[in-house]
Amino acid sequence: MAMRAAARRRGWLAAALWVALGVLAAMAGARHGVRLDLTADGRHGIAPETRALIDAIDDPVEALAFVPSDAPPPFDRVVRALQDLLEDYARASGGKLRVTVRADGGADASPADRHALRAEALGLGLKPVDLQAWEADRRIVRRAYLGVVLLHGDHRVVVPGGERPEDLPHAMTRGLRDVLDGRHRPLVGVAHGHGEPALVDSPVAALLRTGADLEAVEIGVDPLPARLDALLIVAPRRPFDARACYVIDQFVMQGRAVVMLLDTVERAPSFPDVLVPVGTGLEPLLGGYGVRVSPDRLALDRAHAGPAVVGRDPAGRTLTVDHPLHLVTGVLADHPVTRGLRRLVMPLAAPIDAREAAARGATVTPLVRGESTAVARRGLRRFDPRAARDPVPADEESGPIDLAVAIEGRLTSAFADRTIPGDSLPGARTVASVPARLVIAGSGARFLAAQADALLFLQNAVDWAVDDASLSGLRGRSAEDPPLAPVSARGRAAIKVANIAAPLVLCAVVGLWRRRRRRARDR
Amino acid sequence: MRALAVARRELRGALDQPLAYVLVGAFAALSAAFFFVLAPFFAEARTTLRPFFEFAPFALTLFAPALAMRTLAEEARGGGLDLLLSWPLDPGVVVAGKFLGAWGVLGLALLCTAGLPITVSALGPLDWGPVLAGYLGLFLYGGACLAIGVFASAMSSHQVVAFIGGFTACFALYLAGRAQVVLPAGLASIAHAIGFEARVTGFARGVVDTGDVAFFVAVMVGALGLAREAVDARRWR
Repeated sequence: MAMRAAARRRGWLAAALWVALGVLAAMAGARHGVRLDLTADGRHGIAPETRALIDAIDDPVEALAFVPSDAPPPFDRVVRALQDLLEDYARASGGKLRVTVRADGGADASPADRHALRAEALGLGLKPVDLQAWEADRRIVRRAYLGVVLLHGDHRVVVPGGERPEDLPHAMTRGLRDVLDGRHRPLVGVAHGHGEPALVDSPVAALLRTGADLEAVEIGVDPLPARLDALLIVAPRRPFDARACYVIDQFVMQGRAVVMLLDTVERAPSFPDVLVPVGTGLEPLLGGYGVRVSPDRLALDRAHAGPAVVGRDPAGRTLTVDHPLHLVTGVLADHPVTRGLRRLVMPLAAPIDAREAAARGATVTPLVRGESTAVARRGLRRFDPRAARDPVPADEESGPIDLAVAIEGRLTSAFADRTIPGDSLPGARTVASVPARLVIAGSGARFLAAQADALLFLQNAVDWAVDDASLSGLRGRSAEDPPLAPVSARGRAAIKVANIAAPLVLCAVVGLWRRRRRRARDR
Repeated sequence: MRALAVARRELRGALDQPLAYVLVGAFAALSAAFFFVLAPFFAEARTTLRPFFEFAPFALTLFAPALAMRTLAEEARGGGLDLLLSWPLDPGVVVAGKFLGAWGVLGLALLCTAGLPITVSALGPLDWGPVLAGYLGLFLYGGACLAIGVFASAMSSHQVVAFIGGFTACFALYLAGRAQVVLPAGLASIAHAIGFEARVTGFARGVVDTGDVAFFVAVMVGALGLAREAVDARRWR
């Protein structure tokens, strides 16, 4: 009896020791851990651009990381990635980057601690984020601070945490560069008032803000604010009038940059199979620079059709089909705007012709071009895939179909030989004072909605527009995985059946073979 | 060496039973069905195995306890365990051998899903680094679930009870990371630390963090240690 009790006590002790051993092993692994990046392009390691910056640190840089203690998804991934990243950078810097983590203590933090942290974060310029969480069976919104403040001498740079861990290497590297160089953060005006999507309040803005501040601007009679470094025009639905075009023109003449993602058609809200034209009013402005975004032709590619939403099934799930008007593009230029991108889906895209701009001396780079099988179809007003399936030689033109271009040069004013609508703006110019930059894409709202890579395109375009594209290669590291080769419907069905059935058949065959062998052995 | 001999016997024994084939076939077929039918693989049209690596941990949460339930419970019920313990073997050797044998079957199950990366690589340029890291993550994750299942099997002589116990524990640990948003701050940090899901996602991205590897190894060591003590306690009953 006594032996049994002693054995039981020993058993409990041994069990506790085993658990303690496990906990110690986990703690040791976490404390002295290393991370191995097995991706082909080393996208989770320290990029060469970042390493060069870290090596260039002379006086120590202070990094104050503000993190919520119990962040819910998706912020929990950002918190972990941010801490890992800072740990890696600090280790690589050999002590020249000093990291201090300010965790907020979560919901259990005392009001005094919370207030002190808020005052410190706001004082350093870090804006709060709203985290949605559950508390006492209710969904609550908790205000928290997530980001890094970099301090170097008199310079201070704020790097917001964002919502995607994959954006952090670019944002942190950029912050590091800016704090070392003492650069100011660029300000990008986002046009509104012409039916554009509310970009400044959208998740897209959170991505763009990792590289620049955004400000909604209404383009009217007065000149655009001088503090703007670039202007972003995305999918306007109502036309800009001549005066607004003149205001944009004079912005360009000051050597500033404009990024335009333009739709020339949209699906009618009540009749989604009908395509209705969208007049942007920007045609004369662009025409003045030698660029034509075709208002009556759409690019289509029957051999490289991309996914398009055509409706919903009775269960509410979206139904997609491969649609020639959502063409998968082939050639992407080696340019800062397209760096790291492989292919893009361009829905309802208008072909762009910038040959005249090139003839006038501007540097024109076709960024996105259709495959050799792409054609420009005139007068297509139905979205139904069947309408685009059969070739209509009389209405189709083949040849290189450019769907997005980058233009750089000392452009001549579109109003140089035209009547200025209203009063001339102070300091008006007919030739750009310094080379201006334009990025023009023939697809807007649906392009951004079609793929995550379109956001990278937009981020890179904004970087290039504000002359800050040296780190765009870092963004490419977070680009989507490469696209699949096109597979026919029959091929897809065969792949599904083969992959599901093969393991079952394999297990059955091996099981039966072993059974027969066993029986033969037993006999 | 003795543990390996027990493992070989266990693996051979498992492959003589139809249950292993049913489980391995079902796991591989379900994974393929999820990847190609339920996940929008062809709609997304990207050369990645990430949907599989997101689904497989959940499937393993079910599959590993099912594989482990018979390891010790069946032996105990049939009297085989008492016979085994009458040999000059440490109970730890028996437990480790049983675990390694079952881990081998789990490895075969993962091998049966090799058709997925092969198919995807035939359709586009696949980055094999994250694939290998993802499989390593699944193997370790499956091992941790299996060790918990072995412990549950050591605690009961009924396979069904062992399965339910193992599955409940694995599922709770799988969801622990997600539960942190509904827990008080003190418990939330513990839930975050012991959650399985967050640990395994890093592997799928192509990152092998030795902290995560150590975590899964630690779970295996802890669970198998407890299983050893549970088996050892049988000697005194």
